[in-house]
Amino acid sequence: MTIPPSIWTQVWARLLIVFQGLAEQITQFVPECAMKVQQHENAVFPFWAAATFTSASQGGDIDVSVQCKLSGDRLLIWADIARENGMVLSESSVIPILTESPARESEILQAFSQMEGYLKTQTELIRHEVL
Amino acid sequence: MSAGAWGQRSGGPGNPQQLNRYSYVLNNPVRNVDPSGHCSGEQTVYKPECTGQTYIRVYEPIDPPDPPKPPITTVPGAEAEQTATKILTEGFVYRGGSATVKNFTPRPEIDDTGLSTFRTLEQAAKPGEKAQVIDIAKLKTLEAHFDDVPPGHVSIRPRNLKEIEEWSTTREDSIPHSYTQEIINARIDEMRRPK
Repeated sequence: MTIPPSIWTQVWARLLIVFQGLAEQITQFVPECAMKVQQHENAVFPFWAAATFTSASQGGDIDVSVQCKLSGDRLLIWADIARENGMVLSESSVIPILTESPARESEILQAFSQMEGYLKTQTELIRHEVL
Repeated sequence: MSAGAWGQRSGGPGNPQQLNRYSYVLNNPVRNVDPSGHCSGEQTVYKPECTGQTYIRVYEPIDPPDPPKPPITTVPGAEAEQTATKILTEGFVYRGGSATVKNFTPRPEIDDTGLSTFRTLEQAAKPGEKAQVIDIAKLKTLEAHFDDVPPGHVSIRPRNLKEIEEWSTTREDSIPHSYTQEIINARIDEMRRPK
């Protein structure tokens, strides 16, 4: 199975827009909140990204993670919101995609669209946590 | 003296089960035996010969005197290092938190033994928390030292310990340190401990 790298480039570009949108909304209420984004990959995780929100007044970070993991003949895609210590505050459903599916690239993009939709509903939770 | 005035205490120093004064040989009498039988009897308050690695059985009054502390063996120099830790070359360890550069980098002036990880999910994460699973065999320049303090603790660290300090200063950097990148590459799973 070879997934064209351009897929991950597209996914990352779209996620960046979502992360930036989250940051803009949150800083309206918490001006001192800062956001750091990162994206990684390895043999097991073809793609994962995180946005870390830090508020000077709160002290702890909130990590917004989006993951794509290779598991057998499937790719598993999910997202969650967690505190710095790993406490999961919210999580999306896990979307499986058959790696040999002829439509896998469009399915990957569709899955990440669902992750974007999930993240957009998490603004209030993140804002509450960084306050 | 009545039997009710005495309790049994099992487990070794540092073993949480030692807190249970009424358990017996780690609840596993098949594996942990008392071949001598010298440790039984109401009148036994403390017998040093019963304090083996896997077995302690002590009868004591409800308000016992403080038992003598076992001797502490100290080994100087490099030999002490080998005694205190065991280098793991295979297996998985768990790092509580997210898969971020910050979380995969030791904290300055705190994590002076390297990046803290644990042998089990239960040791690395509380209920509801997630942890990253790292395959030790995928580490190349870093080593996994099983020091077991606290229980199950494994320090992932460079062979040259002096490099930990420099590594920890990169915790807030956007570009991962080569050691952090090595851990990112060795990440094989993410697990969540059930609530």
